[in-house]
Amino acid sequence: MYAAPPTGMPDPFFIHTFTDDGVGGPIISLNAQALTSTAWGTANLALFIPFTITERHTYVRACVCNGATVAGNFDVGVYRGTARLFSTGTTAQAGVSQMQVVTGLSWTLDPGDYYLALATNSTTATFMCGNIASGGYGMAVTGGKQQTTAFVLPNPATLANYATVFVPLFGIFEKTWV
Amino acid sequence: MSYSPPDYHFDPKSIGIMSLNYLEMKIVYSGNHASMAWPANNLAIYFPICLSEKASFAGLWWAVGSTASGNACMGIYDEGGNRLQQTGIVAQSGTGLQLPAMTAFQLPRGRYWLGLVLSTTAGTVRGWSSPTIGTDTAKWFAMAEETLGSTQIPATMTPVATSRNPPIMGLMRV
Repeated sequence: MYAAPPTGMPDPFFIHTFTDDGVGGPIISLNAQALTSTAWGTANLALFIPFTITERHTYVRACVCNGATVAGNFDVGVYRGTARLFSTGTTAQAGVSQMQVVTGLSWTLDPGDYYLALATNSTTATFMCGNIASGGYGMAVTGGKQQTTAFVLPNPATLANYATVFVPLFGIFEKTWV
Repeated sequence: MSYSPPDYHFDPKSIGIMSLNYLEMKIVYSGNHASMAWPANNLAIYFPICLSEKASFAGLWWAVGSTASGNACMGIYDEGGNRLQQTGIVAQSGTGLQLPAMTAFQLPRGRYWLGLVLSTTAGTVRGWSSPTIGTDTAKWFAMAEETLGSTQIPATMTPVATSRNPPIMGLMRV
């Protein structure tokens, strides 16, 4: 079947929650521009950040940006609507104030709309996060979703509007050098 | 007379670190952009860029910091890390924009890597500074580096992860 060639800005090599040419929503929703170490606060909460790609890519790394305290386990995934396509599975958080990389992935995504998802089973685990306008509506209006009691990342997800007051930095990368 | 469509462009006139990633940079580099010494002799720093359309380019540029010294060489690579164009080795000069003379070239829509190498740590460029999310900040921009044996930007990239601050460089349309 014929598919029109892609147009517009190509997809970045690294899709993460603050990629202004890939995701974008978190940037325009921020109260302040600095990212700070923020405790997850609610065990088993999952956050879903929308993104779109225009071409087929294979992602081999999932990355989170750890804050000043690491604890518990996290799970990074990609959803199409409520369907979980890929996830890292439960992963012990390790490495204070650094990028933690999950390797050994081969997540091929076709053009379309997706969610990046992150959940942790710890209230005290911290990630580098942006602060969102009160009630989290800043992310809700860009299509962000969340689910409580969602660790490990469930399939399917039961999505509710984003109501969390922070957005963490995490993403997926096509290259192997991080 | 045959019809000639207007020469509209959607990408900026100058495409680089100051355009595509400006918002991200503002968020994670509190030092804004300042003069910085090149981190190591003959070190190449790579930074990804995207073009949304085919366009003609006058050349490759970088921003010289407070002191120009030694030589520099800049190239642009395809998605697979193969060099497409380069400035050749030139003496670093002036302050601010350095845009070595090149034969104009075209690039189609796509994903590319800019690469810049300076011969000496005495040379400076303008770059983003004071990362706020730790030493891994550069990784979030898919930046990479390569230690070279000379100032010649290589024909093929062999990138590794980097923690360097991003130098300001880009492509200038005709």
